[in-house]
Amino acid sequence: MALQGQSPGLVVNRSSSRPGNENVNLQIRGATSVNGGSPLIVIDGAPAFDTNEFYQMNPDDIQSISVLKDGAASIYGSRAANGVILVTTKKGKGKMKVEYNSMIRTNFLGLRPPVSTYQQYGQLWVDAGEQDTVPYYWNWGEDAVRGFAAGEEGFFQTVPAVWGYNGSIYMGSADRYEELYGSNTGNQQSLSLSGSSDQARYRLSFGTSETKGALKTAYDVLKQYSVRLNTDFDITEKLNLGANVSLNKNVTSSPSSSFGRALVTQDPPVFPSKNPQGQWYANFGIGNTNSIAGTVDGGRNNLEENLAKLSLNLNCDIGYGFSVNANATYNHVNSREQTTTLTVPLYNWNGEYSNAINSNSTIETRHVTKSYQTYGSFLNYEKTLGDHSMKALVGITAEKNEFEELTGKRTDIVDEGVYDLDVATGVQTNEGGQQHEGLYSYLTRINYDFQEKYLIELVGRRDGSSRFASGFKFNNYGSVSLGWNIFKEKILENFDELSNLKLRGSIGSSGNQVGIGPYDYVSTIGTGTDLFGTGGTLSPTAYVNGLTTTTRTWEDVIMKNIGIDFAFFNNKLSGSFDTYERKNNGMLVSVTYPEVLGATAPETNSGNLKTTGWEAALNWRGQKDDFSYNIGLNMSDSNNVLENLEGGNAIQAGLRNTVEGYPLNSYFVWETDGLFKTQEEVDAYNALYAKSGSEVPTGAAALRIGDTKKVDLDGNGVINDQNADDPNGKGQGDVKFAGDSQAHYVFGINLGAKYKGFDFTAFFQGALEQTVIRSGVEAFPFSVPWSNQTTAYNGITWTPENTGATYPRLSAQRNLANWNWGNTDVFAQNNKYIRLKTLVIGYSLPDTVLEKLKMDKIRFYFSGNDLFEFSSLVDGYDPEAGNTAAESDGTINSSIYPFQRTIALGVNIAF
Amino acid sequence: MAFLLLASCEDTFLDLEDLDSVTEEVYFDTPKNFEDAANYFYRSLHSPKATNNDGFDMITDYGTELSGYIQEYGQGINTATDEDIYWSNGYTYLREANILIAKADEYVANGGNASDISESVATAYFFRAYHHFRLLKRFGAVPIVTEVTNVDSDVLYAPRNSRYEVVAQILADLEIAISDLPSTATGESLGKISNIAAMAYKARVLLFEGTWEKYVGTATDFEGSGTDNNSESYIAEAVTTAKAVMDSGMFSL
Repeated sequence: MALQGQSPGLVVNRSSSRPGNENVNLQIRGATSVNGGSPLIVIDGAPAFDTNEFYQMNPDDIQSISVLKDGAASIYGSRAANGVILVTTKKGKGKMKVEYNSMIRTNFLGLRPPVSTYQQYGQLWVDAGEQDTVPYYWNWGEDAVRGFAAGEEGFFQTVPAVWGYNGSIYMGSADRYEELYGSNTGNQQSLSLSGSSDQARYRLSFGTSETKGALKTAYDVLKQYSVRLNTDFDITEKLNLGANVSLNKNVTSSPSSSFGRALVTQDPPVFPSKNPQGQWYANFGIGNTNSIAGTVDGGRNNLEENLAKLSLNLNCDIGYGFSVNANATYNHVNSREQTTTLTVPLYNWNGEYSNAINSNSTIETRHVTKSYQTYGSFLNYEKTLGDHSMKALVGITAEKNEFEELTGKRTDIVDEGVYDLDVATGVQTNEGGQQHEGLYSYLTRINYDFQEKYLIELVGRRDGSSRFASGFKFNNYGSVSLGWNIFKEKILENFDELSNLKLRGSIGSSGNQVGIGPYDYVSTIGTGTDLFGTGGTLSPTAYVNGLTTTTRTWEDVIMKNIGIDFAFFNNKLSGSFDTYERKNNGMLVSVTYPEVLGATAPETNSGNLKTTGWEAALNWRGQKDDFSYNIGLNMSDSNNVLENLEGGNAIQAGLRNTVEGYPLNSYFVWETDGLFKTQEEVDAYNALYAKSGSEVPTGAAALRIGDTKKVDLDGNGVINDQNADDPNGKGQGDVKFAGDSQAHYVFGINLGAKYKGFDFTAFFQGALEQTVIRSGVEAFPFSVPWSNQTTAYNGITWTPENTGATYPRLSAQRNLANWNWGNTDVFAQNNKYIRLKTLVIGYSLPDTVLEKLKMDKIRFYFSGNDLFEFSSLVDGYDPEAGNTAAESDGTINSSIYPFQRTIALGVNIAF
Repeated sequence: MAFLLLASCEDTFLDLEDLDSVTEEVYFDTPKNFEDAANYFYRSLHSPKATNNDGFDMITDYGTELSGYIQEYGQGINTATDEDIYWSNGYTYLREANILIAKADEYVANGGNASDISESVATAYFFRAYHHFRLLKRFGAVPIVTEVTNVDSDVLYAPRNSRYEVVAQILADLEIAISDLPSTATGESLGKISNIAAMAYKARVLLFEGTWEKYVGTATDFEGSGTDNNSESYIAEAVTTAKAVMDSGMFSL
């Protein structure tokens, strides 16, 4: 998370705060392809296995991180189309040094999502009943909801309805959010020894950390252990060998049942979790959910991953300007995951058995082995002749990725404290699987500069991938980068205030192969079973997996970039500005064919996505006697447009992923003309639009004063979001474009100061514009009647006493509620926010004290994360909750697992 | 030196084949594999899960016109939609049957013994007829598909064939199926199609089309689709076929 806001253009999102399951998403300069793709992470010169390897690194091992975005990135590999993050780990230097860092942290709950309490829930139904033409209380009945609103607990007689829950049910206050979540503590320790001699440098480090999630009914934790040894040796003056070994172990343990919607959203807050006998109480007295019971007794998911990595790096200086560099890495991951889902009996209020969570108990063990090898060898040449200097590089890189898994599963396990496949007695199933893939590239780079003023870099690559059929495996790419150090020109020699001025530009192409499976060019057979015979025995079945094509190949990404770096007053004020355009030609997209084809057509390289954007950064550094400070600001924005997509999605209300001519993940909303003010308006509207084909609700859900008035944008006399006859539109009827789900004008503010022994850093991050349209069962009041309801709009909806309200009149009638709120322009929110992501205040003991203790450094610090935020969201969800730019939208983190604020105290000791 | 080593092993990194599935090219080479492929067709028979996972039970006595899923049908306000799962799934199932028939031709052309796979092939013909008939009942005249479709096939954009052509195709396919299917399907094969069962199905097809042409005629079919009136011959044939089924003694009430 330390990467957020460090570099403009790099957007880091996480969509959950569950440790080990955060779904962190990195994107550099917006989306490259409709198929996603994340930046390539290069650790110490070799590509990382996947982004997980990077997240699991001990943060104390990292020396620096830099982000490559333009043509310079293309030297790093065929996966660089999405940008490159270079990570350098610490190496030893100087005399031997021992460092010990320790931190203890406490997490507090962050923003509470607008889930209702017992009384709020009842009051919402009562209010809606007063506003409705025909009051509707679902199964509760008016007496029950008035009872909830008054805080009465006891048996309520419910009303028989379609869902069959009738009879007398005990109901009482049960705020699941309070029952499930609370604060917790964690810690992080690391120890390192480092040093160097004339001919060798070494660093050995150990680290452990424990992070817990907000769940307090059950253990939800991620524990990490790591060891790393970095060494390099000068075997001779001209030969240098580096060898790094690292071992990581990650253990994630969490409940296996009742996550997702069942946690807090699914049930109204009216069912206490235990009955008077101390048994788990079933929802509605006869249902099968109880999220407290599920997280406590429903089984666990334990995942243990072991990662071992060895990397070797050889540098040899041959003389005459030539040198050779070769590297090889080998990563091996072994993971074992065991998931048990246990049957949890649920009872009614009188102690009689009623139903069970997980009526079929299962135990599943999954072993996965992965290995990843990379090799590279390069020949370098350097030469300087007077004002001219040049460098050339020729090389080959190769990598291979292998994967194998074995899963065993059995049903019918009884919870006796022993969890192993052998203990379960039911049906046994198993599953295997293996796959492998590889990349192979030839590359070359030439740098030339004249007087260090005019620079040019040329990169050429020939990339091959095993994912494509023979004849289509290779593609050629290249880039040109130009730089002009204006600062070194004679005319600016006397401009003392200027310390740096450089203009740069680049054009490059690279390949992207994200949307393709490893063997998609081959038509394969899938197998299954079916029942035949008098005894009902399973016979095997076989089928062709689908249509394939051999002509699929790399997506071509062309990136153009112009930027300027400047600095004034001896680098006190510095900054940069970049603008770029990235075009993905031949993006893999699915094309729609007539259904007579009888199969899903394979994706073809027929899409075009264009992304444009800019980035700006400004930094100021100052010093006065003992006080030094720095302020940094950065901001970026990117926009994409799907220029060409055969058979793209038609437009309908809501979030559409791929619509030709619009950005990816665009929202389309109904245009509204305020709320109805008089009954004459309602009657006139109904006369015009309430007819077949129109979505205007009728009957008990008919429109009233205070309901939303939707505009007939396409003028065809019908209110709907499909109009195949509209010659001007894409069949979108009455909905219009309302922005895309990506965050725009993302910014970061870095503040730092030092005074004597004190140091202070703060980092703010936010966005100025992001369209969010909440979806999910709790998006707006009464989107569905059977779930928990949202309190976000309490008091700001239209009532006869509050006719100036923005939001429409409450209604418990589902059709009317959906008409009023669903995907209207008023319901779309702008997520403008700023958040204090990090605050660190530290104090280092002065040198005089350190000398007496014979230590090099002792520093105490206090740090806080996500301490506060301001957000313009109306419904009170966390501004980062629905922010995963790659694939989803402003939906509720539907498990409503809250984000946490962290406060930590730590100490750094070095000697 | 490391260079040359790397330059020579391009294939180890790029020539990688699927490790856990068999490819289509090599699969259809034994009678057992043909049988497995034929077994796969049975999941497409008309059952609660075959075409639409949702709400099939609503069409039983559990459902009423108040029930959400079939409310529109019950109240008579159903509107025709742009997509229909009976259409899409129908052609998916037809493609599977056509693949098996095409692979059977290749098998025989490569020297395989046609009689070893005749039962599987007959099953494919039966299912081809079955799905054409289901499409006929729901949509009337539809495009006929008798070869494996691909993204550039003409049939994707061709106009629909007349219902008379569709019926002729169904009956022709059923003839082939009847001649090659085994006469019993008991024991281990209980549940699979037998030739008497196929004959019973043929009788049903004949009765449907015969009565359609007799009472509806060409009034609701689209223009230019033919003026044959086979109602007399179909109904008569339906009678004889049904009698043959009854006489076979394979089934009883």
